[in-house]
Amino acid sequence: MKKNTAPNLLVSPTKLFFCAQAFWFSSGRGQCFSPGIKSLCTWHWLRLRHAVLDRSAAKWWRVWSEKV
Amino acid sequence: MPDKTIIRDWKRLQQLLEPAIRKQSVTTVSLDVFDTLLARIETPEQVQRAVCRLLADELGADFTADQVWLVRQQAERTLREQASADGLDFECCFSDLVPVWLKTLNILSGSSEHYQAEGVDGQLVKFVIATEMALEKQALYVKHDVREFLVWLQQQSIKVMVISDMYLDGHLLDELLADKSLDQYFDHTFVSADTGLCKYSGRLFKRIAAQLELSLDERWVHIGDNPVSDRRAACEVGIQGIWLYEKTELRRREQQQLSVEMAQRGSVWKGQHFFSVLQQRMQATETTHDNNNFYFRYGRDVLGGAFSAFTLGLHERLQKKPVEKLFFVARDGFLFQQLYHQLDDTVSDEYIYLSRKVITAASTANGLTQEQAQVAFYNPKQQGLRSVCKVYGLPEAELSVLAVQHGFTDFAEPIQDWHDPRLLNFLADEKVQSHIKPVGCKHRELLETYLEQVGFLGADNVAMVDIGWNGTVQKFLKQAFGERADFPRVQGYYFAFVPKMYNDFGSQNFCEGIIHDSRRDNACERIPAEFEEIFEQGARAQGATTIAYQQLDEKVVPVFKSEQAVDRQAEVACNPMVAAMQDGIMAHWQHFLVVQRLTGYSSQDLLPYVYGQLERAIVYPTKEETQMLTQLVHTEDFGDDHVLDLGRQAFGWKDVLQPVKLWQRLRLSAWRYALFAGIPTGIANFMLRMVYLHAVKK
Repeated sequence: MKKNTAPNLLVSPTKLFFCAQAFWFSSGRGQCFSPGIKSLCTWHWLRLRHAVLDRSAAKWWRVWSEKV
Repeated sequence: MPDKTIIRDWKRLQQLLEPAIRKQSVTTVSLDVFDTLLARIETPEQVQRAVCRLLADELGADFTADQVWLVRQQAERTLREQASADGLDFECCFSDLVPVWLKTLNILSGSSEHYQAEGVDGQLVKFVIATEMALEKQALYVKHDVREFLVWLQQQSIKVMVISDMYLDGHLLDELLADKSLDQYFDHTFVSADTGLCKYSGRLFKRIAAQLELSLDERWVHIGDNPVSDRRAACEVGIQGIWLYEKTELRRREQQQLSVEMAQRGSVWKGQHFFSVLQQRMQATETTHDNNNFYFRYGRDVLGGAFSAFTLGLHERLQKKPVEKLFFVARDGFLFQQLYHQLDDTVSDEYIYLSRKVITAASTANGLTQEQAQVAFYNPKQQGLRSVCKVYGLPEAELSVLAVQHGFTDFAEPIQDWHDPRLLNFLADEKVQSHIKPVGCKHRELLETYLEQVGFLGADNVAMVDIGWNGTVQKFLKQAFGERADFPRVQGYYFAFVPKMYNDFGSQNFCEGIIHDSRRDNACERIPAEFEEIFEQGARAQGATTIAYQQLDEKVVPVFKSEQAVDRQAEVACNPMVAAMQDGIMAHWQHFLVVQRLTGYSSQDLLPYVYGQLERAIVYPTKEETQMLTQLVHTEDFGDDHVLDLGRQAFGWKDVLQPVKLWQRLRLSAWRYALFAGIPTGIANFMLRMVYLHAVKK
């Protein structure tokens, strides 16, 4: 796997959410780049689920336990 | 060699095979293709959906992309079930699938007879196959370390082949391998689509063994990413199957899928998906050399997204409202012209040498009004009447004598009150206007000839493309030549449009800011206005600004600012940095075009994310960004020789004791957020952003 050489191309949704709060406190308008709290929570939840229910590791164990 | 072999990367695979090949206990190596040798920047389903979207566009308004996709699924299932019923494996072949798929679509549209009579079916089949192949080629890339492994394998004098469970025909797979320059490494290519027999049942291995007279034993090693098809099924028929278990690759594919799912939610998630695909493509194809230059990286990773979204937005608008000719206005139109050419070169276009300086000079042919004069006072470094003379190219010596009569003891005294009675009396003076009008007439005459020469005057409907901000050039062109019968309808498209100076642009003179338009009243998209200079630097041509025109061999040609001028010399010193940024923007654009074709996203889908990218870069810059970008200097095309220094001394704790001075610095700073970039966590910039957003007019 190559190292990420373009770290500034992608901004994490969490960072976008926090940046957008500056608009929330000041005017409540223009939160167009905020991912939204519900979507952000869903995104974190799905990532957590992927990390905990590590399907690639489960796959490895399945192959390891096969007889052939 | 162990029976149950799980290998984590290509280097370990080579170490495992090396002694076995040397001892000749391995004489044949076969490899899976997809997700083993080649990976995709986008999920296979998204690639197929992209084909469906392009086919729906080709078929016209009768079909939606989802409809075409559903019919494809249905046709594929029918063919696979048919193959299963015929005693083959659950597989289908693309060259069989496409006609069945199109036939079903024709029935749906009720126009199958027409299609057949016109031979359109045959053309459509070719179109679909070509589109799917083109998109697959764009989506696929050779995985890291694969090429080195294949080069080594080729040197071992053993039989090497690829075996794939895939719906694409063998010759199409060969075409894909050739496109990635991998075909040279293989003696044979076998695809389940050709025979209807697959790896997962073991029947494809047996078929190959019979065809090539190979023994199904451990001298034949098969490697692939699928634990069932590539390892278990191979081992069951007697071949040594090796499972390539690349954890990072599996994780990457999970992330890819998650990104696709989140994109269904719209908003910023579509952009997140788009740019994550773009990043993967960039990572897969980039050279390490590119990453050493900060300005290249900044152009590619920060400015690239905004300029690409702008160009895409411009294209979408011109598709809806076509124009006869497209004018890219100097000097910022330079980059936009390069970008647009790669997207669409069918529209006639011209790089037009205009500047605010030459336009405003021509607009004084009927005299100088107070509204015109105040344009010179927007510059924070304005020098009153001297700036007026510089902006409008007026004779300073003659006018300074007259200015004294109206109370101006210092000709370079800044004028803060735009309705200063001295100024109003000065402009109302006939003697003053008699010095201004002949100069303005001369400027206007040359400009008029130039505009006729480039085809602006005389055209029916044109578009002007520029970076922004007030639309001065467009406004003054209309003002100066709008009464001519052959003055065209003008659509002005700007990166950012902030009509602070003027509101009325006249009839048939339309303006729109694509990334930012202050009339939309969206605080979020105002971000380019927070650091205008970086966008102007990123887009500008290397040549000097136009300050006048002259007649040369019966042609009117632009006269550029002297290379000896202070601001021009500063510009020339920055040219290598600007060139590197533009190389980065163009590199981004190459990837952008491919990913846009794959995802089908519009500029509106991408803009929320682009605003987020710009907010991060401008309001929360990294230390490196602050250090490097403040080395740039900025000049303007309004006649002055001022150089705007983007580098201001960073915030220090002593500034807390001098709040008024600090406020002044913040007010005059071109990039105010750079002042606090040294304070960790970004909290200072967050606070400043909040205060600023609260203070500015909503």
